Amino acid sequence: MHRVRSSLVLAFLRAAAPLALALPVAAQVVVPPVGGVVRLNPLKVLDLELAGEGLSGFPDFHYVRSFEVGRRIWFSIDPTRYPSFVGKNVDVYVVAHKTIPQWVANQTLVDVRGAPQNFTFSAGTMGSNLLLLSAGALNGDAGAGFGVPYDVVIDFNKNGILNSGDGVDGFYGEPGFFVCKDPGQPGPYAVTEIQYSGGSFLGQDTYYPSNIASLGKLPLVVVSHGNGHDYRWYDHIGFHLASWGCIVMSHQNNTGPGIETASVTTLTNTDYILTNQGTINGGVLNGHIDADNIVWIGHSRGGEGVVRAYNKVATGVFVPANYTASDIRLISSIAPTEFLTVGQIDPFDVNYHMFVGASDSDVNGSPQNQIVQSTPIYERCDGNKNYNSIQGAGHADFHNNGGTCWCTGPALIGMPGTHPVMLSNYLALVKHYIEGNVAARDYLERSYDDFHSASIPSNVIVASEHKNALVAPNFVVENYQTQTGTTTSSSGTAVFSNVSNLVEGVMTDLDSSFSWSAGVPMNGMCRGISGDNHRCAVFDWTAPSTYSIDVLPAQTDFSDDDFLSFRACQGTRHPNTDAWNAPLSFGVQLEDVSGFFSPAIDFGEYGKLTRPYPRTGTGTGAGWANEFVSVRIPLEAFTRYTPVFDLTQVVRIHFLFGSIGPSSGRVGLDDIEIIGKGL
Amino acid sequence: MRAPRWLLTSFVALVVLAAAGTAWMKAGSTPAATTEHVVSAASSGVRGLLFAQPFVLDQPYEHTWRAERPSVRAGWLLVLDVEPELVVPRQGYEPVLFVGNQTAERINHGDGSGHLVVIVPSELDPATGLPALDLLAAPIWFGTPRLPEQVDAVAVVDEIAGARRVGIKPFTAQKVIAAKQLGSTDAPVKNRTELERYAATLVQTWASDEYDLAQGLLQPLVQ
Repeated sequence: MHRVRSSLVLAFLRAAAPLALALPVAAQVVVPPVGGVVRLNPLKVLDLELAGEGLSGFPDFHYVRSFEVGRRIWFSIDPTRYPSFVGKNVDVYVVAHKTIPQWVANQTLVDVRGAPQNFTFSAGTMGSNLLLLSAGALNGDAGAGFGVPYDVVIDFNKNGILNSGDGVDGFYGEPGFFVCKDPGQPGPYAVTEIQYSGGSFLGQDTYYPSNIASLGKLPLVVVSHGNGHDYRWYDHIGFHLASWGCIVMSHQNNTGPGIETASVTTLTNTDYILTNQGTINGGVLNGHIDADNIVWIGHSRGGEGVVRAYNKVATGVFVPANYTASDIRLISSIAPTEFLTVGQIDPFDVNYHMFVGASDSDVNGSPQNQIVQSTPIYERCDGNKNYNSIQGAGHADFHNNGGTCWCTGPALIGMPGTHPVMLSNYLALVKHYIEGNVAARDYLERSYDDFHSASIPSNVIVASEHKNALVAPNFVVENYQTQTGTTTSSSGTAVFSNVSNLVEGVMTDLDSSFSWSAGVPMNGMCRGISGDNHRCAVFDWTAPSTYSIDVLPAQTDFSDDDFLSFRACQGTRHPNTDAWNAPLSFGVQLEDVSGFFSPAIDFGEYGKLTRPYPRTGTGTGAGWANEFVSVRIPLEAFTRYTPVFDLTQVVRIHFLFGSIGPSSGRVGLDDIEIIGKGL
Repeated sequence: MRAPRWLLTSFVALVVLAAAGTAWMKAGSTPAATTEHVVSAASSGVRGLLFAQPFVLDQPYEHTWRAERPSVRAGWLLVLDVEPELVVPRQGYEPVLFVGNQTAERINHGDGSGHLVVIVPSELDPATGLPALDLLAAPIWFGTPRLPEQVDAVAVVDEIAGARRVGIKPFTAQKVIAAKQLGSTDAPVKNRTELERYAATLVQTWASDEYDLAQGLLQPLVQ
């Protein structure tokens, strides 16, 4: 329903748009739809995307939300989309973000850099309309918050006032962009650590901002260690998140008996600190623990335990004294085991995150043993979820005790490589899922190649996935869960392809070996155990090939959406993968109802699929579990320099192999979705 | 008569490897990590009984290392000399330590020193007011790799039968008496927390390389 309403509004606006763009700039009034509702534009300004980063190839420019301090911030527009801009000489301002009421109250433009830049738009490409807004020196210090918001303004009449016809990136909704402090670096608060015990399996190591007395309620992050680990081995998480305004409690975890028992210690320790905050360390925490915002992090058996604990609370098997399932706002499992059943280890729709180490020699992800396969838990989650597979990281690299790393394989990174990935991601996860912070989203949703903490050493390779919970207006084009034939998508539309060896199936490696053979097309897909039914497609190519999916007639309007999203991986130990032996990408193209094709986009411009970690063992060859990478292509990029392409009537999505990217390859493909604005 | 060492070694290898196979079947896949662990440790078991001390509590606690989760009022604190490689902590299945017809709760890891401090629950003998578990009659061995919380009475019977078949015997009276003499009187504990903290002091004594682990068990109690 929402999409139909939205389409009607857009149809009206679309009809008006060519006229509007042909009018003198000062006369234009753009009233963009948001959520199907036309909003007021009291100042009659143009709402534009302006801030971003240049790309090395087409589509040349990438509008982004967040920049880390030190990163260059660029400005550009597509002159074919805004032909009336060409030849205009303007002043470009970077200003502190204002809401619409604030703009209405005061339209004076104050450039945070001291002065605006003069710029003349030209015909041609976005590359010929690039303007460097900042070389990386803009302030990103938001205190314990995250991300300083800015807007970009095009002052067409150069009068230093925001008035009718001027363009703004950040007028509606989100600011134009954020500058963020490196999330891998400590936050603003000094941290106090205390260790105490409430009795048997109630030993706790707690970290909090030293100035907590002057702070309000803070999120509670609970860390549940793994078997043979110690609750005092997570200082890196404790100090980091407490320095950013969390209370972090790592506790004794009864992992020896098993997962059911470990889950109980997660539950009871959470209750303990909430119940006893008035007495722990003289009551310093009293009144400062936000029991409505709890994060559970678990490692190994503890990583399974935290999911089991949530499952127990959500199903009423365990009733905590001080919190409910809805208070558990985020769960993160680090290299979790999987002893229990599918039903017992189901995170349902909680916000969920997982780290795995591709070099882990304990919970190693091998197809030989479901107990050491972590990823099926991630697949099971129906909520917002993120996944990071870190090449070179061992099982013990995730805590900070040192000693043996429980790792094997090439290019090991140890704790120095692993911890920055952990800390920066944990901060982004907490900021976004607990505090609703917008700036942190880019660390979770953009490709790792495209954007990650500067604290992470350059040799670290991470395969990252992000998937939103499926809520309107997002919709699935193909996720392979239903309509399991290769010629019909899960949304019921036709699928056409001339790729080779196309198979749709359950993501389970059947033969206890990572080796590929024609009889085991899902090799390396350790993403389901008995009782799971997570499916995807796999195929390969040795010549230019296409895999195309039709779009349901009711869903062809992509113009009010943000991204085409999917996830893909290279097929481990396949001859084509071995021959390419490098990160890989391929092309994506849209087709509209009139038979026009959008430009083909090589998604590698935003980040590529990792080469499977070249670890040996568990069969012949080199390459460990298949590493899916989430790909998000901005839909506006499909209209780059091609205004004729009709994003309101997209009838088919084409994936192009061989013509873009390597001439041969092998991939898995899944979760092809359209992501709505702001989601 | 105690079985020759080679026979014991062979038995442990058989039990543990067979157990790995059983675990594999139950899990629907091969426990690679566990197998690796077991194979390397198959030549060892419990080498000695170093210390034994009874305890009797005023307040019972739940034995979580057993599926039935029995309530515990009494038992033994033991220090065992074990094959270090067999007790390297892993995330997969680990061999379950049995003492007679009960599973033992491990307090430390023991992989460095070879000394493992364990709590062995027992019924309370009303006649003596001491643990009913007779160490003179109780064999001590590493059994099937699995999660202790899933070990029930039926599994214990199977494990004991397997141990008997290959001749696992209790430690000799001489060794048991010597261990008991070191333990002498009841441990001075009234409840689970005190028991755990007392066990931590045994770790400091017998497995000094795990001093830090013991410290983790001995943090100041919140008043």
